[in-house]
Amino acid sequence: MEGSAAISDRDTSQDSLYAQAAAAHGTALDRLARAYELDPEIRRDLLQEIHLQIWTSFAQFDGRCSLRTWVYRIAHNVATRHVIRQSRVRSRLVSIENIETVAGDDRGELAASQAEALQRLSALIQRLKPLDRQIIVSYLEDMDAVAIGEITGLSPANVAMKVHRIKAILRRWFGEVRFP
Amino acid sequence: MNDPRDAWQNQPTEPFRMSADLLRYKARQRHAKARFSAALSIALGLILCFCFAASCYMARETLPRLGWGVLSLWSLYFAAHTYRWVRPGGLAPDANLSTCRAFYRAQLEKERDYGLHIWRRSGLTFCFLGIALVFVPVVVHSWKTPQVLRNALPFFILLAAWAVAFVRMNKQKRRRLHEDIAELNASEMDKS
Repeated sequence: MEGSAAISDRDTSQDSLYAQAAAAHGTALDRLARAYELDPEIRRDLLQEIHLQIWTSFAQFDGRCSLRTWVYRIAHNVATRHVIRQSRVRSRLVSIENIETVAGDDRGELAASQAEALQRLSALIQRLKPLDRQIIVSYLEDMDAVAIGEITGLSPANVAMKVHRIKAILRRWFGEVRFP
Repeated sequence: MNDPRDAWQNQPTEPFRMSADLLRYKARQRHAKARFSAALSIALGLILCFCFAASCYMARETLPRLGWGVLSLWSLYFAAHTYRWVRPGGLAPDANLSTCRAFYRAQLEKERDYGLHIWRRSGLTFCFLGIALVFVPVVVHSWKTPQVLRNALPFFILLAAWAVAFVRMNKQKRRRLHEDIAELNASEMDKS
């Protein structure tokens, strides 16, 4: 009886943690999936896989990091595995340092609308290698260098350097951008 | 446009949430699938082992009996080793990117090594030794009665076709795995 009670308690906490995570980060997870997959059908499968892995992982969640860090780490891992497995896509990816050598569409001109800006941003993200993609997506979600470091496993100094490059690239791709 | 982060955070999203029951169902489904593929390789090995052991029991001559015995033991070994080498290992759910990458590369290398040493790892040498022990006496006897050899001909043709296809497919798979590993290595060099 004690065993079943423990399992039931664990299930309840797993479910409640998932409900909490889905409510707080559901839309961010949807945006994250968009950064890794353009095809809506495959993206839905990817999103489903991300949610499933997050729910499964809560059985091992020990609270040593924040719920947000845990959720993002798992979501990025699932999405990265998705990209790594697509060898045809993988071979065309470039690092943030080399993105400037790749020709971009309409670079330098100001985006006329939010939709156009989003389109350009997606095109930029889709060209990046997984690690740089993790950093740029986390940056776009307003995370600081420490939080990004916790997710990616890089040092905050290394992340800060990458973020600096990302800002410079965004400035070149989107015209004059005001960064706080 | 002021900040790309505004465009990113304000993009339209679709509400997506899975119920706890659906999550449990999916998790159970996945476990069941993994268990089924593991059970299938063991069951196939056991069925083959039983069939070969029965043939071993019924064979009258020493060499074919020995051959069926070798095949029976090989099928057990094959099932166990296929399961051991092909089964994916576990990865911590919150592992960071370098761990994920290392894990993925280890999986690719494991598959590549299995293909490279498939004759030793899956005991195919013993399989062919068993087949030879079973069929060589039949072929030797059939010089006097060519009808038996003619009857066995389709089996030998199929065996030869399978061997050619197996070698070619194994080679292609190894090449693909090599390319994947090389790409991963290249991307790691870029990162450093």
